[in-house]
Amino acid sequence: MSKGLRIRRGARINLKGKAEKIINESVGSRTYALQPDDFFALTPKMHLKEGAKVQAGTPVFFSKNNPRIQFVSPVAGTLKAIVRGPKRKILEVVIEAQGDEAVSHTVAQPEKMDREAIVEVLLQSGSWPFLRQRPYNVIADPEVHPKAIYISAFATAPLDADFEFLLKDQLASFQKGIDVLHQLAETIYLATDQNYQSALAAIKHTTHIPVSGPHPAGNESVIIHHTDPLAMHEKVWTIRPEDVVNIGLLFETGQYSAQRTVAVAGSAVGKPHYIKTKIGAQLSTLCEIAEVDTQLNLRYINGDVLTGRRTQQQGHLGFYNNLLSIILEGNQYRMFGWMPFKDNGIPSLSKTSFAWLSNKAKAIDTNLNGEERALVVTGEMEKVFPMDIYPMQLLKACMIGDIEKMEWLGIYEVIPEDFGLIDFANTSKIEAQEIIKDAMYLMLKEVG
Amino acid sequence: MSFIRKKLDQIRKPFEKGQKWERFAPAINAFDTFLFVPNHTTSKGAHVRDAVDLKRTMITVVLALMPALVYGIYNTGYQHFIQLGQSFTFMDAFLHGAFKVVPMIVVSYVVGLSIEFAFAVYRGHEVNEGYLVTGLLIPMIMPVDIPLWMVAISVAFAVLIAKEAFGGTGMNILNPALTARAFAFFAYPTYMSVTKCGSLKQAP
Repeated sequence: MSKGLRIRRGARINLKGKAEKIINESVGSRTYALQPDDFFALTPKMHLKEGAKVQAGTPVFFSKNNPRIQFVSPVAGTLKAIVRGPKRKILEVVIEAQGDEAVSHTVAQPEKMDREAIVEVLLQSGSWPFLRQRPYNVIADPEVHPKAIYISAFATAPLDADFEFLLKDQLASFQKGIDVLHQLAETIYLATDQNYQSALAAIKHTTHIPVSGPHPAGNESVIIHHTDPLAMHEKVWTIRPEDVVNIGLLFETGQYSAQRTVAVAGSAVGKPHYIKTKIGAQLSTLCEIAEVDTQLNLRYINGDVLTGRRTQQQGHLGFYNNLLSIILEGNQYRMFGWMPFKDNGIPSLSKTSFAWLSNKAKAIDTNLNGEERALVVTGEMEKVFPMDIYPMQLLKACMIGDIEKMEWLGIYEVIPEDFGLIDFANTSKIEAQEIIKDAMYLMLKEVG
Repeated sequence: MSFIRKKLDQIRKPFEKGQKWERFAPAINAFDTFLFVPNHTTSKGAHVRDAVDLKRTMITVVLALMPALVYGIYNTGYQHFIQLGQSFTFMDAFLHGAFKVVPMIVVSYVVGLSIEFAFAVYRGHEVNEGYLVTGLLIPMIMPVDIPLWMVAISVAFAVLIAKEAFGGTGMNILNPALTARAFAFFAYPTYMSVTKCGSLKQAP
């Protein structure tokens, strides 16, 4: 694909506190945690009890639907607590770090291993959850032969990590990971920023797609939609760029690698920069290093401000995200906020504030800027949804749970994350991502 | 500002959950949110939100209607004085037009918003801002010399049948403003057509 992919619809939201391109190497934390909520539609079953000793790579829990899929401890230590919520749902499995023993696996050159052996190593080592499967964005099914694997190294979400920068010292491991994935699927698409002379273009066994445009141009869904749309019963897999490195490292060392370079960013961060740590690291450690003023009333978000999961300062890093956004809470009143062109600091994609006149980065808080209202046709959704899918009609079909209509309107091609900007932009303040998520649960239950 | 806020919080007290006037909360909320954008923060979905809300959207539409409204008011007076063959200034024409049109706008808003508030309280949801636009459109598409009670009945019909019967703002399949006009057209055809039009009737 020499021409590349040019996305026009979407929006750039310029937030204050973008991470500086400095990596703080190998930061450890006292506790690490695995959060089953990071995985869509996963029912975890515990292997271990509280107080059990674990090594880095020891299976901690597994998926009830597919017991082959294991979730392993990122570090060695003791299983300190299993935090449960309502109905005894597992929220967090907290591991106290101690020592550095790790489980070893026998690996060979990926070219010399057959598909089955590679799948087995990935499953055994706990690296399998890195692979996710469309439709529905669930953890990949080891039995499935996917049409292609998509990797997006072009992160367009507000404040998101720059993968070019993040991968630049680990290209060898990245290539190794690609070699492994190449045994799982014939085609691997690698999307990069078109405006950037990408070092990733030289990676072998991949089809390189230069992408340009505003968010959500870098979302896998958009890239899949514009390169090779999903037909009925087809499956593709996606994987995040740093997890390709993790798989590469697994096949270099034989040990599960849980490396996670996370951009700590946002208006409330004193020193926004990249921190290299491990999956599930404690946020308070990261906040301390990034000089976050924890006295303020802050919102901690695992992921970007549009799609991330809310957490606390005592919380832990998510499984997939390379970004920790910290912004101010907005629980204050604004007088006469309904008047257009008042409060011009808040961006408005429908241009009801003058924020679009300046390119200055904005410090937005979490105020809802209004109240939830009935869905009104205003055409805002279509402007920020760069796929040949009618977003509003799809949302309405999802609200009433009409499965046939949802299929016609393309529910298989989208995931909740694609509706992040719609959440942001729509005047009725409806929770589009929640609606899509609920609809996907319904689809999983009824269609599978 | 904080003084008004404190006063409002005081007034709101009996309307809060579990209190005496809880049922009428949507009505007080409508006034409260007119003065202040509430302190609600995002709970799920995107953590940051656009500055636009339904209030802003509807106010923008109302602002966009203003030039047409001003010209319509002026034209009402202009036609009046032209028919009488009197000389007049812009202000004369505008004031005469305003004298005719403003009562219609007031009637439309009072009747329509009362019904909206009543339904919001009855259904227990917030007052939707959609009527701000409808309430201005109705006087703008009615004949200017139609009796005010007909405006009131048309508005009531439009809001009740075209909008609330279907579930309120966003659910209606008919346009409320045009429904009001259609209702008036079929219910009071003589007032809507040329026969009762004052100026032509007197023409020789």
